[in-house]
Amino acid sequence: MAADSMEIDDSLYSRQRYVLGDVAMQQMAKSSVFLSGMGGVGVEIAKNIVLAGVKAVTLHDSKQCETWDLGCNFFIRQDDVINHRNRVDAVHARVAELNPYVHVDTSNFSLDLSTDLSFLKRYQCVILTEARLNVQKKVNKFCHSQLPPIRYIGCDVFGICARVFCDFGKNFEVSDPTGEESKEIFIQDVTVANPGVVTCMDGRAHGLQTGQSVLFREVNGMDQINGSARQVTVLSPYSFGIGDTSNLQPYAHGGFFLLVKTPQTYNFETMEQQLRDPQVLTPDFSKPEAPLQIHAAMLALDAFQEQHNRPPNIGCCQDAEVLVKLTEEVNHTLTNRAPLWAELSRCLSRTARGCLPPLAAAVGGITSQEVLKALTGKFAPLQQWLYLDAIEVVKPLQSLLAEEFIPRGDRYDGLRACIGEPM
Amino acid sequence: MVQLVGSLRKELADSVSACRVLVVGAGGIGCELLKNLVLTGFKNIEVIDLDTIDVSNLNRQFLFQKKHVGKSKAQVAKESVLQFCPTANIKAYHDSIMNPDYNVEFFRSFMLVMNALDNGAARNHVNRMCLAADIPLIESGTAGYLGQVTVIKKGLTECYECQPKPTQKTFPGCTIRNTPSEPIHCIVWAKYLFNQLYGEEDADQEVSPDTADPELSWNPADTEARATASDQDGDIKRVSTKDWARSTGYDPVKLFNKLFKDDIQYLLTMDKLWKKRKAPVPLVWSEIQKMACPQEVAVTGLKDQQVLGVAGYSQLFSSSVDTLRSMLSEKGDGAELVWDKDDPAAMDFVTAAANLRMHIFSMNMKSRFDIKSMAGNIIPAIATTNAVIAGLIVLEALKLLSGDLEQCRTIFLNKQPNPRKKLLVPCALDPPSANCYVCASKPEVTVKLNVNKTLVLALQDKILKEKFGMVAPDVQIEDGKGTILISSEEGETEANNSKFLSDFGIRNGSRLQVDDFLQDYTLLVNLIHCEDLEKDVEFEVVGDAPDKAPTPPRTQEESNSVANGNKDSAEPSTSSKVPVEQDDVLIVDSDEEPSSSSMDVSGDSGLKRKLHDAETGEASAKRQRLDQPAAAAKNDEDDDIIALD
Repeated sequence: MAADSMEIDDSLYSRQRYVLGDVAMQQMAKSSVFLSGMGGVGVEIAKNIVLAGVKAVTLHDSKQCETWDLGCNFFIRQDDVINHRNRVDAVHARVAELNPYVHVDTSNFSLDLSTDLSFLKRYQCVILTEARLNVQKKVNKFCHSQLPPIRYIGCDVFGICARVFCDFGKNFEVSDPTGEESKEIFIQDVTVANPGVVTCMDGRAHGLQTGQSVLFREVNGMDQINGSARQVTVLSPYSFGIGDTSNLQPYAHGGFFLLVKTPQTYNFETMEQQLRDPQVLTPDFSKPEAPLQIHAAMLALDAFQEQHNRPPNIGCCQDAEVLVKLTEEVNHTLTNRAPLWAELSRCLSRTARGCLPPLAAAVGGITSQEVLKALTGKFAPLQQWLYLDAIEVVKPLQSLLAEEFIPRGDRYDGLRACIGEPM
Repeated sequence: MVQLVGSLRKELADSVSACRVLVVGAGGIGCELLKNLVLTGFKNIEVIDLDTIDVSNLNRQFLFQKKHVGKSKAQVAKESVLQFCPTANIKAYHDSIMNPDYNVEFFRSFMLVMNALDNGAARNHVNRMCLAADIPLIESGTAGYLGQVTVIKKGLTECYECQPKPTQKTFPGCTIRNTPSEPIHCIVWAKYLFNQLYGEEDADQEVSPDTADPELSWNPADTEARATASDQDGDIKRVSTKDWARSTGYDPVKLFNKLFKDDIQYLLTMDKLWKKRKAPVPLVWSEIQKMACPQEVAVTGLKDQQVLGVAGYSQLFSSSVDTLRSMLSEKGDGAELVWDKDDPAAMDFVTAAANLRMHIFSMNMKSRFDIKSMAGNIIPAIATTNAVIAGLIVLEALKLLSGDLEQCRTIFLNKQPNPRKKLLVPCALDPPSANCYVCASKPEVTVKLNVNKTLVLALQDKILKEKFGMVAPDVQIEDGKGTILISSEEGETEANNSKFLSDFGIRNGSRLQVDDFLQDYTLLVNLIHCEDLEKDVEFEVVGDAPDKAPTPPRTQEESNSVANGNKDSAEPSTSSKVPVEQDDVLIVDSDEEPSSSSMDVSGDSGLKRKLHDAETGEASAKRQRLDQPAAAAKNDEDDDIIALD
């Protein structure tokens, strides 16, 4: 079906159309997504992208519902736990109900290093949550090598730390990096000369740069210029040259120009390539080194799980010191490193099994936004890692006794692992 | 830097499960917030929202489904949340938070209030209630991909009103009625017209030519010419637009010719207006009908993205007039329609009427999609942003409840991570502004107005309620006698409404003591008599920077428009006010340098940051966020790993 013949249900999507635009909406409505992991962050992503209106989502998970899940996954209920339902079956109908336009299906095979990944070829975007790092690397490599590449996003939330990794392939074209509508700027004058000079009305700054192109409309007199795009040579904030106009009719009045958007290409590396020299976002000025520090600590956590085949125990000081040590080791392998942040590693270790729902919600929102960017090529994507922590939330709790964090078999165990017996 | 006073932790250290929280608003942010709160172990939650569920909500307010359309948001949100956390104790109110029932005592019963609102009036009100009750407030807002969360604590942080908000831009009546120069003027006119014809008539929403346009000189000859024109055309005589329309049986052709031919011809007689402007060109129904069938231009894009042309819009005008007439008659005698952007006929009518007027005044016509955005003041919205913001709200709540106000932040969510490696931008909370007319210990303002021309009613409605956000003000003149000018008790001072301030001896230098008992708020108003206010300006607040509004996010700039039916708002659902900012967004209009406190954790990075600012000449982080588009153009390729800005 041609993109421009697809209808959009305005009554449902009206507010979102004003965010994404119709082209992106249609792009999304043609895309299929594979989403693995139905934990706290996975269900957040499922909710967000189904609401947004992709064509199809496959929810993947191989675990059964446990009481624990009640505190992180809002679509899992007591009944599901009692009946030992698979998490993915429990959430399926509830996710599908969010948007009748989206086809939601499920799969529950085990995704590991031996899985044949060719089934992923029918998806435009693959998102892994709750997946081991080596599985992530394998899936990411597969996605990266496809033609066109499958957009890969990895998202992990461990206790008070979270990371998002994006790899949209080698030459990911973004049609509209800013999503800003080009402003119509009114014209004062266009000279007949070589080069012809355009002056903006009322001394308004054009904000253009040499090399960009502008499109002319509704100019009177110099009629031939209308509808044509011309390359700009900036002369002043209020005027610019547009090449030879000497064979055109003289400018009379009216008309405006607007910037012609030029697509940008982004180059992504695989996770493997990005581990040692990560390209990270710095979300907080007050801790500019935090992203690299969390990068190291979370890689250390991956290493811990490889070595011990389990995450560190809740509140366990011994495991915490092991993780500090591992972080130090990981740090040495990084080409771009920050000083060790031992306290973070300890907090991460103590809380790694836990789930802090608001952090999962925030990270799930950010990840979903990247999914939409991956599918639509609208707005500049995340390159390539984003790290977030909620250490401020747990810091004052350091003095609490370890027992406060120990699971008690109720729905709040995940939370308790992070913030103790709620305050 | 914000200092912790007293033992906040002790005050708030009750467990999450015991603590009572209030969520104001169960919309985009509210739904996500309620979910996060119960997952985080909050058990005692009260939620209030006066809205009902609309189809357009379902795309992001995930607690609602199609079967809930028309039902109370607060109630359905409560029921949906209970499904996944049956043990939560949630109380829902289908009501306005501005209702006097929710007094200071009510607010005091919570440990924390979280706003998930969509309009400034309610935000101002909750801000005051929380200040009065001394309860911490977490404020938030989103528009498209942009979002913000901040924490407000009396005496320790800025309150919601510490930074002046850009006042809503109003259009002079004569611009709307006589000399529109931008599409928005025609759209406002079309919405007025809708109300004049089908809705509640409002004297401030006249659509006919305005003979009192100050641009017209009082030349007797002119007046006479106009009188003659008026005589020739009986329709322009001062009968109410609605009565006249009714007398024609809402005949689309008669309406068309009056609005787009006769009224325009009448405007043309005011020739002074057209000396420097391009004169409007009347449209005649019969001539348009003679035009060949509307040219079907091959257009890509959706139907509502197309611009139909004059013939197309006159057809649409005619058919929507018919539809609205039958809707009106179905409702029975004396019924009125309320304009709603999501009602197809109402939207068609405004699209058609606005476009025809744009054409008459030589403007480019606009698509229904664009007009809907402007007329409906549509705030672009998407689930992902609300999800992020609602998550951040609860993280801030946890910090607050653990007594760690120092760690709380104002957090901005940006549209895209590039160019400056920022997506989430936390900034330390600023201390209260000493001059804030809300949270200062003795709030005081100075207002310039003409005491001989300002009615008591205008003082009450436009200055005290609209500008200063009061709900039910009492006003006493500090004249030594304690003259009561306005009483919030019904029937006490209504007789004063139509009198001028000067009638009560108010003059230059007079002081008014204004109390709002609900908000527990007293404001001292100093008056300066002023005879030379700008055209169409009724009053001016001294110290307010007029029109120094922050650049709104660009994507939304186009959609700035008529304040829409925010039902939670105290404002009328249709007005000529055009919010300069998006209502949904908190205002970030700090002109100053980022307060040094922004860098409280690491003075070092603060220093680098300042250096960077000096280099690029950019103002503050807050400012930058608004200026982002410009920065984006310059720095898109900026891919360094660590950006210090």
